[in-house]
Amino acid sequence: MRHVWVSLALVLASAHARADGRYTPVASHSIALGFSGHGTHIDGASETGGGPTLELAVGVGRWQPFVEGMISTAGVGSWTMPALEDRVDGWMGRGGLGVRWLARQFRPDPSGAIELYLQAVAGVEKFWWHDGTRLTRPDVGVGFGTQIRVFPFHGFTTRIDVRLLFTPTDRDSAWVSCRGTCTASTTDGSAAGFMTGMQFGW
Amino acid sequence: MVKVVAILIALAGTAGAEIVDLPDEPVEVAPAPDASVSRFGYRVGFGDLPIGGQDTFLFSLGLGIEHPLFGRFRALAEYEYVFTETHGDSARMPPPEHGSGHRVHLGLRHVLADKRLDVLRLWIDGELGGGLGMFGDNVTGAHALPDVFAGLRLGYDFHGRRSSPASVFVAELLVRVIAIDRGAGVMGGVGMYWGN
Repeated sequence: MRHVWVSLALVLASAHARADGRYTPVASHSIALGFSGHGTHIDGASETGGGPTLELAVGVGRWQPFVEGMISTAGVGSWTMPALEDRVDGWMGRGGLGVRWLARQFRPDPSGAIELYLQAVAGVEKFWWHDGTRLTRPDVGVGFGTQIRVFPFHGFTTRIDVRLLFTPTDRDSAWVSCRGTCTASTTDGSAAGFMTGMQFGW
Repeated sequence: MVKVVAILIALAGTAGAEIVDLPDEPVEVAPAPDASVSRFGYRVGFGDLPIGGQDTFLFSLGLGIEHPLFGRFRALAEYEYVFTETHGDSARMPPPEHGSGHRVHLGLRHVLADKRLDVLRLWIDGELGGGLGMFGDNVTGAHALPDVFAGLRLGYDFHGRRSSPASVFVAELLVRVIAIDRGAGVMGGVGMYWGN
């Protein structure tokens, strides 16, 4: 009789360990490819670019930690007297860590879902400008997105992602490494930008 | 007794298995949605406001929640992070004026018209409210901007099965007139919400 009660307790305990009640959890591991565009500021001038992204993620219930990488074009306007904008182009590489949380899940039928997620990321950006300047700076971001998952195909996912990105823009900041033409900053210590993109994952 | 224990142990093993696909369910659709559903979601918005007397473009990313009150009235609360850029002034030297900030809105919305089509409900809602924005830019510094707004939302509810964690998915377009101290501007946006 004691074995029955122990076994029953095991069943009840493991039933509650099922990921998060009615939510279908994220895949235990996934890879995603996509394209992303960004807009930030460097020394008060706008910096924009876009390029391909790669993400590797693991899933724990409604949580999805991930690592990501990106290679992107980059272009920044620099200001010289008198009032002429010179644009400097180059490349940006970014690596980061993040975590995504499945906030809402709408399942019109058992084969898929339309989901809302919230996320936080932290990363490092390195710029290679065509004028020889090199700039390295950290970033942190928060954001959200919508994803459509098709469960029968290992959770094939189409994702639209939007993030706020915060970066130190002052080249005198201890967080920023700059070599080359590093003019003094005209702005305060940090600037807000954004990043948006689309990914396909499985 | 041994058979009972074996069955219970087998059940314990399968209960921890990763759930990827749902078992087949009876086709039991949730009740047709109406206005009495709490919602959480996001909106991407853009618009124009005369901040500091100058025509300023705004781009916003925001989160919002809504809760039914009475009848077909719902309360809404929104937070937006807003990017601002003042349109070029040929008389002013560079750098261009740009900034960012935060805005919070509270308000009421009410269904003006709706029509149910099977699993969809199409609707037009009106809204009224107000809020406060805190913006800073690289030229004129910080601004505190109280505002009032009136708007229209056009969208649809898509409702799913009873077993769905969110009973309804909402997509909408928004047009809003926002009045501040120096005048008024217009904002548009696209939002997606999940309702319970």
